[in-house]
Amino acid sequence: MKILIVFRIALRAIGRNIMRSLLTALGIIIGVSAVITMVSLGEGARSEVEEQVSRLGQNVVLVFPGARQLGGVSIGGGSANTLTVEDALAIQEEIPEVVAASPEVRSQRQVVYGNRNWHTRIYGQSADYLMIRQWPLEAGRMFDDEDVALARQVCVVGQTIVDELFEGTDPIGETIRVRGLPLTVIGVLSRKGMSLMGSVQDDIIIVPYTTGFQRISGRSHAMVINVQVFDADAMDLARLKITDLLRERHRLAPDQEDDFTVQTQEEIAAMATETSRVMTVLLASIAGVSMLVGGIGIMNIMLVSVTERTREIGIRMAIGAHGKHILLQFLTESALLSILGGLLGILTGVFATHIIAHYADWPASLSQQAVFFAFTISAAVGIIFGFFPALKASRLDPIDALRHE
Amino acid sequence: MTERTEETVVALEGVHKTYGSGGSQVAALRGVDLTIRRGEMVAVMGPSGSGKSTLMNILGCLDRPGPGRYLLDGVDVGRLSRDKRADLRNRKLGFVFQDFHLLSRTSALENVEMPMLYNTDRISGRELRRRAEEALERVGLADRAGHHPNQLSGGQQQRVAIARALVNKPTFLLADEPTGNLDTRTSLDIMSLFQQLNADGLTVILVTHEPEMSRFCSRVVVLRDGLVERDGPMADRRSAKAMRAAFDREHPAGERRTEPVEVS
Repeated sequence: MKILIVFRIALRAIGRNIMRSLLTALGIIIGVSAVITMVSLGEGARSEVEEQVSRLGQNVVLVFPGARQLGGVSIGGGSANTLTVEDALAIQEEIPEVVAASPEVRSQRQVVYGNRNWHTRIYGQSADYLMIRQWPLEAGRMFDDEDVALARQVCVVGQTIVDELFEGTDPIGETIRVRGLPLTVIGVLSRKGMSLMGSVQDDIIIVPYTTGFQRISGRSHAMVINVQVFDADAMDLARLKITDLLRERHRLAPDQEDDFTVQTQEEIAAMATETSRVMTVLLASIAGVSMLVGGIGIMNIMLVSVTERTREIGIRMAIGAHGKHILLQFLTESALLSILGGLLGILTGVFATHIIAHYADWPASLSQQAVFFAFTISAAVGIIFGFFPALKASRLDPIDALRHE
Repeated sequence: MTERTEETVVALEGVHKTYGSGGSQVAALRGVDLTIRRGEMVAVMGPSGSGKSTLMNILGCLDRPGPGRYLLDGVDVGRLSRDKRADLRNRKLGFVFQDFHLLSRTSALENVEMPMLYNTDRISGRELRRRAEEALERVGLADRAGHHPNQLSGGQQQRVAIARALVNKPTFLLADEPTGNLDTRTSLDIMSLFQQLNADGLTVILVTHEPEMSRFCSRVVVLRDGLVERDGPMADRRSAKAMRAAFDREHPAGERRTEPVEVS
């Protein structure tokens, strides 16, 4: 039998009841489109992570307070009070590989300008912070070492602050208040966009760390020390030296664990990659379940179809069809049904990816791998789940089949 | 032993068939001998339960004979596998059923093409179409090739089924109550088609319970209780074509009232 004719017969059978075929393929459609959408969004998220990690700055080492924990790392920090401003200064002064070190302190505060107010994060940093982060200013200037030394009440603000408090007017020279403390805006940061966790990086105010520690947070210990090393090759060396220096400064005995954690950009990137790998595994299991459900749907309807078309099978057999012809016919039908579902799913997935990427402003990059994979899997599902009904059809007895009402 | 010649198409030798097992066994055929030669038109008759359907299933290679032998064109059907019997049905048999058994939503032409799809020899698409059109022309339906079964009358559907049976140039035609669902006029048309095909040399086996239909055949085999009760030539064989002409004279087309009936 010619394969083209088999396809024609199968297509006709599918087309005979479009609505039912669509509903049957719905499981596959949903499964495939969900996988493509999620993988594409995940892919986008991952490239965004990579970009963000690289945007942490160049050759950046982060020092967190607290020991490395079991099964992971305490990032986000601030949980232990083991890092001081002096530690940061010592790292900058005493380690030749280090270009700059900025002790960081964060607070969430209500900020007032005129009759408007806005809840935002206030970062205390050193004058070198923007250099470490490679974050250019859009206007004005960054505070300098003298501002830091004198704990001047100055700040640079992110784009969100400009939008929310100043409604887009030029904020430089204006004074904002944080719990009664006046801060003069001296610089405006360029726009950075959304971070992965959905926080707007532009929703930020940066003040000299002296001001941050003494006047705003009331804390005396750094949450993170941002360190920049002069060369990528010197990262490991710098890391060792930082560890030695801090152990010495914290007077840790040789058998004591570090009370801080040093992490390089690569490690943070590796963690992010690991996170996205876990996500991918989760997505794959969801995809597996939905394809399983879709496959069962196809098997179900193919069984119904075999019963409904018992007479047709009987006629074909009486006229000379072998069992394998009937098997091939029903297998082709279920495979085509599933593949059509897969194609519709791909279309829906691509569409959904674009919609979400556009309206939710999520990074998304269509994963061609996922598209190929989804297509292959849907064909396989059709063949695997169509096999039992097709086998059943091929084993019918022509005499009984002809008599079937 | 039944005598066999080169002209023998069907030879049944002591064919038995039993259904069920153990205490509930039913013997459908209890030793049937039957020889059919090329060019015969045989009516197989008998009341229900006589073994008529079982005999037809065996003749049609749909079922295997129990004890006994069935030779179709010299081939021992009982020894063949399922697939080999399917091939035999495809090449040597043309089935015509009471319910026509056409595929719905499939054009007349495609219905007729179907047996050729399961042919073991490769036929080009163009040749497929040509042969199907030829078969449809033979049954007088060349102008209905594109119609679907639901657009055709019962008689036309049965003609399509006959064309389908003819398309692989079978050794014999096996018709199971082919006029059972048709009115008298159409039945006569179908029988006259069978007679004409038979006159052209085709062997026809007609399974029926209607005595009138057996009168168009050249030979009548009557089954009773799984045995051949009577087997002989039809004494006064009739022409379906002539009867159809007579029927038209007795029931002119204009006889039926065609004016609208008034409803108050």
